[in-house]
Amino acid sequence: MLSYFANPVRFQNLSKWMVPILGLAALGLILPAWIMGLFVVPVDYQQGEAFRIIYVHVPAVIVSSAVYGFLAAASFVSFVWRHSLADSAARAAAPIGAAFTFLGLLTGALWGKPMWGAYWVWDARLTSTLVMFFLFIGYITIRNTIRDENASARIGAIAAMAGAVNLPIIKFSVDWWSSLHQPASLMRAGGSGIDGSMLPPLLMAITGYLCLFGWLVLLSMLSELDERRARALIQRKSGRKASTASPQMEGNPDA
Amino acid sequence: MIREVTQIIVRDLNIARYSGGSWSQGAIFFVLFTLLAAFALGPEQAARANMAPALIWLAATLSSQLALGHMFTGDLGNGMLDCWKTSNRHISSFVIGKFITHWALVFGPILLMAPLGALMLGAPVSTLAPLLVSLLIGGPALILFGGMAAALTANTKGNGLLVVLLSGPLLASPLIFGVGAVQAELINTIDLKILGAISLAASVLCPIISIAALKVHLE
Repeated sequence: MLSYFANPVRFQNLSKWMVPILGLAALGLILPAWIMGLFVVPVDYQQGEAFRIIYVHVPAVIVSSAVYGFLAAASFVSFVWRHSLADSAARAAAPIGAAFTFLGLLTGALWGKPMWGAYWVWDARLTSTLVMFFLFIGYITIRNTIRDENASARIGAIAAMAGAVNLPIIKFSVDWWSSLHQPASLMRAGGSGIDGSMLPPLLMAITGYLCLFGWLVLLSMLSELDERRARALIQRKSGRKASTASPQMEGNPDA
Repeated sequence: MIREVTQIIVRDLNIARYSGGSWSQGAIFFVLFTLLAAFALGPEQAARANMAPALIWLAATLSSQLALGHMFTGDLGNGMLDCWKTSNRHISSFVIGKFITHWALVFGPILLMAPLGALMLGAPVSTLAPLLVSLLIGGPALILFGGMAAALTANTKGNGLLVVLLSGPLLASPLIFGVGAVQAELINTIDLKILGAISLAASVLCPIISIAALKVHLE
């Protein structure tokens, strides 16, 4: 399976189908979920109208952790098997994960003000999520500063795998430390603690965010493949004109 | 293996001895930081005394990271690490020796300066012992996280700020529990135990990660 998709052409053929499907699924899930969440679902007896931000906030943070897991797994595959597509998947996932984390932190702050009386508290769940945001930023910085492509992929993979230590801390932070943030109510032993009328839009939104992530990653990977192909073509053309120019210099103009 | 580690330690201590004292820059930054923090907090003694342990920990965290940018760049750039590897010696002993020397050279002076800085900030004398114990237990974690970041970026020019950027988010946990351990004047044992656990976990994970990173740079 891993080596099957190592072929870029095979991957491109598959993703040509997957891209529109995932994009439409994301649109078809997120929009109705938000409309239902904002207008149809009844008001929470404790939190009032403000609870409706759950449909933006919870999917964003759940998916951002999932994206970090994806980044770490793709990094593992790229580090162990030197799978170049896994590497470009990891590279594509990082900025999207950072964006989801940022969205989660922002909506969390907006939710925190009416509920806790403060936009931000230094509590375990919030701090560990902020740490994850900086891990994404660190990964992106590594990939952009190390010029040599092989070293950049391998060092980035090591850093991403090391940062995965943070994932269980995020998940269990609300159980290990007494926290302002409410403990898990969606995924817990003995069934969900969320009312039946509020649950379907939430699940739809989470699935929709996941589809959105898949859509963005595939688009980004495809454009990277095209960019590489274009660069190779340019190199071949200019190589024919001036064969003395070293290919390395052409690859990184500011190295 | 132990002979190789001591070789590295002796060599690095000798280099430091003839380097004109550049290893002390972290400690000087530490003192300057406490000085500036005292100015920033103003003349009110009581407020400063309460914040002293937190500020000392913050100063120790930042100053320990600043000196780590060059931890591996020199040996990687001048081919020393290549020679070390081709003469059939373990990279692990190189990395462990480096970590021990850097802990002694960078964190040792900070430990010596910490009581002085705490007294300058007006901390009561009774907090000095808990502060030193927490720094002694948490210090290895600071050096290990920073050294790991230094190994990851060892072949990047001017990686000083990059090291702080990568290790910064990881330093939150030793900082939280380190300050927590001092705050109750008596040593807060749970926080101290977690701090020790972080240091121990880091001493297992960070050298492994650093070795993997250096091997990539040697490819």
